[in-house]
Amino acid sequence: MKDKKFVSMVLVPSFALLFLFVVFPLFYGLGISFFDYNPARDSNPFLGLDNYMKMFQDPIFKKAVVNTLVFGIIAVFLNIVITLFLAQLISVLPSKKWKTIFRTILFIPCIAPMVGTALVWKSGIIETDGGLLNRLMGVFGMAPKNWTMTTGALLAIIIAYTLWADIGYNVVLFSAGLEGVPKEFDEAAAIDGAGPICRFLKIRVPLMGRTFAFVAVMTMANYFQMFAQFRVIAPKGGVDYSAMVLTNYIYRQSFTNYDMGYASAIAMALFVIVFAVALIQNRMMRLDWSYE
Amino acid sequence: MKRTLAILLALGLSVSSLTGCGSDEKETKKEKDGKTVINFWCHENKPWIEAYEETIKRFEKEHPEYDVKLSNYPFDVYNQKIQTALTSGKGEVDIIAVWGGTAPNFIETDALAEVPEDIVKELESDYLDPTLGVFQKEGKYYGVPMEFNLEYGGMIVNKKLFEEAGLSYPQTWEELRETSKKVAKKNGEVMEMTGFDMIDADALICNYLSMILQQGGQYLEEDHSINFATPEGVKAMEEIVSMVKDGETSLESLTSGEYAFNRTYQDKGFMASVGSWGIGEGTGSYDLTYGEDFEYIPVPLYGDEVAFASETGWGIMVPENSQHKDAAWEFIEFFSQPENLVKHNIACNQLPPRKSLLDNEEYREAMPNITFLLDIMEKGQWMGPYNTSAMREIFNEMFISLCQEENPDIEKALKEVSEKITAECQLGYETK
Repeated sequence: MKDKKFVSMVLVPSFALLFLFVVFPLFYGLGISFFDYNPARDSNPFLGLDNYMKMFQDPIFKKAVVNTLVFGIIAVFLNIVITLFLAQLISVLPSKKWKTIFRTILFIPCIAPMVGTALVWKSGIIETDGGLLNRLMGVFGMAPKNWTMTTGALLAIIIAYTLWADIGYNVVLFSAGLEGVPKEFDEAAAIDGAGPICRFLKIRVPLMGRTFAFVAVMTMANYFQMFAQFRVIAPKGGVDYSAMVLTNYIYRQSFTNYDMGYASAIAMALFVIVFAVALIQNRMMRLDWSYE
Repeated sequence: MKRTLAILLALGLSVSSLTGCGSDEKETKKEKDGKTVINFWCHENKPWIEAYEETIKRFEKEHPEYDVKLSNYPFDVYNQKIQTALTSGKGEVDIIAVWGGTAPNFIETDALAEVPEDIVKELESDYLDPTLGVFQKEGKYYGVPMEFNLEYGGMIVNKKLFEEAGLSYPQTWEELRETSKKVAKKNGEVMEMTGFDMIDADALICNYLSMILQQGGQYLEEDHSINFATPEGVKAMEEIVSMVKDGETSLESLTSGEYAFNRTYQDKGFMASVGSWGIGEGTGSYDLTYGEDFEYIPVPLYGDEVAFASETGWGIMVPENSQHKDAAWEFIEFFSQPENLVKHNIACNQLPPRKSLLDNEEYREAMPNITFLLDIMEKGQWMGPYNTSAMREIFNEMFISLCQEENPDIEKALKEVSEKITAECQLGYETK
């Protein structure tokens, strides 16, 4: 009884804050989405479902949904494959010192502010005049390109930036996951004649289910809400909105068009998408959370 | 003991995370040393900030009962900051400087104070029409212009490049295009040297509208709808698209969000169209010398007559939730007096919004390089009752598409964009 009291005393403030800053804004946003809302106005007319109807007829919204899904799926898939590979490479390094050095190097971009690093990429790497990418193309005898005018390539560049900026976090998580796999299974497989690749794919990876579940759900939820790099590299969504994602479109509707009601409706759509994807992932990765 | 500590820690952290939600009333709205504090917000722009500070000094000298606090914010976040301030009930700001392109977003709310009658009289008798445009709502005024915005009419020329090439400045539109073609150099999609550049987010539409008007055409219908798909509109657009297709300039500035004149200052371009404020960027940001490195000269006429469209430029407003509205208007009245305004306009390389300042000797003496603009200002028409920021976005997107198509149907694109702008960008209030 005493324990329950203690737990509640400690948890109540956290839940209160969670309610105030997460649950309440969510429902408030839902409420706003039914209005032609501008907080500076005295009266905001009730629109019912008009904002949602407008959303389904809005071609930019449709493009933003597709781009968000394409970005989310490709970036998360590549992130998991690359980080798992790097974590495995690091785990076979002989000394603890080298493991730490490599993890630190990969983690550095994660602690740098995304707006800053995205600006560096924009002006140093993808800049038309003198950017690293165009210089490299020059080395191979190719004519320089205005990358901001491309469609697929611009999204690919943003995906590459996101992987560079965020890869260290999952490397650390997968490293911890790999180290958590009991050594006995690995050793037993080795005795049975399994090679390192076979042991990695058939023993270690399946036994890292819980790490996988955590990394996949968190990365997916996080990537669907990526904003800074899109705002910096393709602030207006690129040519023909080829790099417009939902977060950037919400920002545009809120702070460029000052249409908070419509922006809230789009935010609700993003919420539904992230929620649905997380549910699907959770179902697909239903696990036995033990190694028994 | 540990448990008590844990509970206290949890409570402490919760409370500390809420501290940011409190208000800082002492700083913002109360009095300091018996003086009324007037909070004045502007955007980050060094020469402009210095000019505001000079006016504030003079005002405080004349009105020792006031203490004007100037705060500046990066332009990227400035409008959001204003939006938040207008929404809050705290009245943290008393005066805001607002760009005419974004002002309608604030004016169409009920969050701004009406301009007092004595200032309105001045506005109606002495201010040029385009400067008042968006600040009028249903017969009332919600902003006082501080400049005449003219993105058309002048261009920065790189004097050194012209001298090295042995070329003289173009005097006619034909000479302009000829020189532009001669000097431009392209490598793949990269412009190594631009000729005449007007393809950036600000200059493109202003030049385009002027090109229509100079042919004797019009883009504003009687019902205020937009129609670019006229013979003059199509001809002007064909001319501009050809500048990109002929390799005289590129879409680089437009797509990267940079101003075209930056290339001219970086010795990567011969000529770039920009308002007179661009001169300050050359002498300030690039540390160049006017007359040695660059000059500001008239853009040759495209048509037969002097005509252009001008949008409402920067103005000053007072939020309805200001704690010191009377004091704020007193400051604005002081700021707008011709003898004070002219000093501000000179310091900021702005064109004066008041008719009485067009012949002002102090201004003409201080700004000999832009007097050619003063002579044409009265021939300008207001761009129209449109949110020009939103209008630009739609227009520029269309232009990018046109430049990318091999055989674009310009008339069809102009018709579609006219309909879209009319439907989506008209102001949500009556301007007169």
